[in-house]
Amino acid sequence: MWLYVALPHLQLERMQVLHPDLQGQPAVLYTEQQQMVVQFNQTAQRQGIRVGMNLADAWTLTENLQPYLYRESQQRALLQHLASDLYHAFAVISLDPPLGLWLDTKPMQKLYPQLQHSLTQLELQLQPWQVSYTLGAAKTPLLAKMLAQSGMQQSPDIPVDYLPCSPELQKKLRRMGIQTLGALQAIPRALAGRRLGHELVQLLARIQGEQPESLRYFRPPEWFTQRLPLLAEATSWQALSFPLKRLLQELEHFLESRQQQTRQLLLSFYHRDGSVSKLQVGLAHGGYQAEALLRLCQLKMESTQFLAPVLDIGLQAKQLQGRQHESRDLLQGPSQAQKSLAQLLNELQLRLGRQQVFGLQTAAEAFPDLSWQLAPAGAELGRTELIKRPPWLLEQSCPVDIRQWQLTRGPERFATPWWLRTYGGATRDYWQALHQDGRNGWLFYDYRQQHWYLQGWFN
Amino acid sequence: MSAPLQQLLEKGSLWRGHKGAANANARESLAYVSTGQVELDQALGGGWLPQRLHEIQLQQFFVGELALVAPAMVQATQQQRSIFWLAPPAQPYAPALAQLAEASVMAQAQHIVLRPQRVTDTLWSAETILHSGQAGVLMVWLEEPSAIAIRRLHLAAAASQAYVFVFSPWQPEEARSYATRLRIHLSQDSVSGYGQVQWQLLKRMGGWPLRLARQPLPKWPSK
Repeated sequence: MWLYVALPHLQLERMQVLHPDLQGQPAVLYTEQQQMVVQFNQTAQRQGIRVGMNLADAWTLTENLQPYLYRESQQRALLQHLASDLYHAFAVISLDPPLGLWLDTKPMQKLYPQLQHSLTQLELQLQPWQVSYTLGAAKTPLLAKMLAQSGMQQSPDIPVDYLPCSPELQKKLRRMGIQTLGALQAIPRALAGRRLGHELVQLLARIQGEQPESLRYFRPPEWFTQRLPLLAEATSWQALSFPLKRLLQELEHFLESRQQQTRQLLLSFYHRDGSVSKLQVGLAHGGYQAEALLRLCQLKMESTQFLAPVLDIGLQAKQLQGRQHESRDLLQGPSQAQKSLAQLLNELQLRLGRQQVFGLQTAAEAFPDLSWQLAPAGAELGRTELIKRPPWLLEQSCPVDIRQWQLTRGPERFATPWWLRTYGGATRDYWQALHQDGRNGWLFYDYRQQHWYLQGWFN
Repeated sequence: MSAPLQQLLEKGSLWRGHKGAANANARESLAYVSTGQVELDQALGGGWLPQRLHEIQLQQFFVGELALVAPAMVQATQQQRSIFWLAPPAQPYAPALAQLAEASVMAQAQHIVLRPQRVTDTLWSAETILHSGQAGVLMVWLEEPSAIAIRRLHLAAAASQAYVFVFSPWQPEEARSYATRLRIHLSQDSVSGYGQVQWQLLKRMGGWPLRLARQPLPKWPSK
């Protein structure tokens, strides 16, 4: 059994969801070339606007018309997006751009034994989209599509206008007095073929499922991209934060359903002169929650200058990866944390710079400068076999006057092999020593330099 | 009040019980963590408190101030919270940190070091870290902590579960919203030359300001 979902006003209705102010006004989408209305909302419908109407005619019907440009690519992207949502419930989906898609209920028969189950599931998936749609259910894809488009209940009632064939053939049919599919199918196939040609025979074979339909099946996209036109030109970052938030919520929904997180956001701002400014937000530790992402974007925006008024904003999420879950002990009770460590580190690194936030780790080396290392923030400390080490290490060991010091414990000798690049061939004697002001330092005598150096502090 | 009693009160070995029973109960349930020093723990009523700001004023770094924080670091690690070092005066040395308690526990410690370029960034980071609820211990080194900055940190600390320490040079003794203000005096043993510290509590909970007796420099409690 095939289901066809026709979405005649998908693009406009999605715009309405993202800009709730549009709902009370008559809004239409028009094609740039022919200036023809292709989608409209309910308010516009009440004013008498129809598909295929000239934009100028629409203006005469209502003064406060809100016309927006119809974008074919946007429509396809939306359909893709919708399909990836339906993919949770239906395994076999085929897109029929620009206005609809097919679902095959056969592979899901074990899960949804009745057609009604499939329909309930479909309704559930489409609900958050807030779009209007019509459905057709039939044995063949073509029949399902015609049912959905015509809005008829029974296939014999479908008017011949909905047959996907050439206008000449339709004209011929009407001249013969055939108004519906039922009437056409009543004529013996051989006779119809002789009178109306090969095209019709093939069409009927497709409708009745004698010739299989070649459909391309949908596979969910690997990454997220969305573009949103603004209702009015935005001239400051503040004005952009609301539409951006809605885009990020869509992204969260997208990532949530995949249990993924993103490591890079690319914001595009489209200006009137056609130029685009881009803003890249890197997240070293990944993120998926809209609010956290918005905060990061705002942090980035604050440090960037606003160049020119913006008409559209686009959002791309790249470097998607599986989420790492923070596991928590059930017995310890609920966590007090407001945000995850990854989120916190993202914010800190975005503001301070990635180099300024780091973790510490021990390394399996005995030589003091090599027995620790910088690690990505959030790394665990690790083990060590070394004992009697000071808690402080100077960034750069500094030469000292040994007369100010009194050696108290040592020596501990370290010699490094010559092949090491930085510390190769060094021989050092390490001492605990007492400075004349009473503090305990960690000194070494370097045989190559023949001098005393301060390496760290013990207290 | 008799003179000896007053003396005892001022010495800090005795404090007033009129804070009420309810308050006393609340005190008992407070999650003190030891400073590692018996005298200091007694003077502080048990040690450091979470959700409070502790100021440690020192004329020189490396006079045993880190040893006072070590037990808090161990506790944070046991609770699987991170330890944040904000603008430390030198590099915290990982092998010494790993030796703080049993290796199996400390190996999982998360030490995160931040080196902000400006003071405003330092304060912003401190607030962000505290508000996130991820910190077990937060140590901030500040040159001149302003009263406003401290007030903000104090509020942020109250919303977190962390032990918060602000290290700074000696500051004027005006009233500030710290739970504890500890000033460390460094001196020397006249005979051996070994360093000595004297802890002066400019402010503490449930007691008068207090100067403790001289002590040898506290040692970093590792093996």
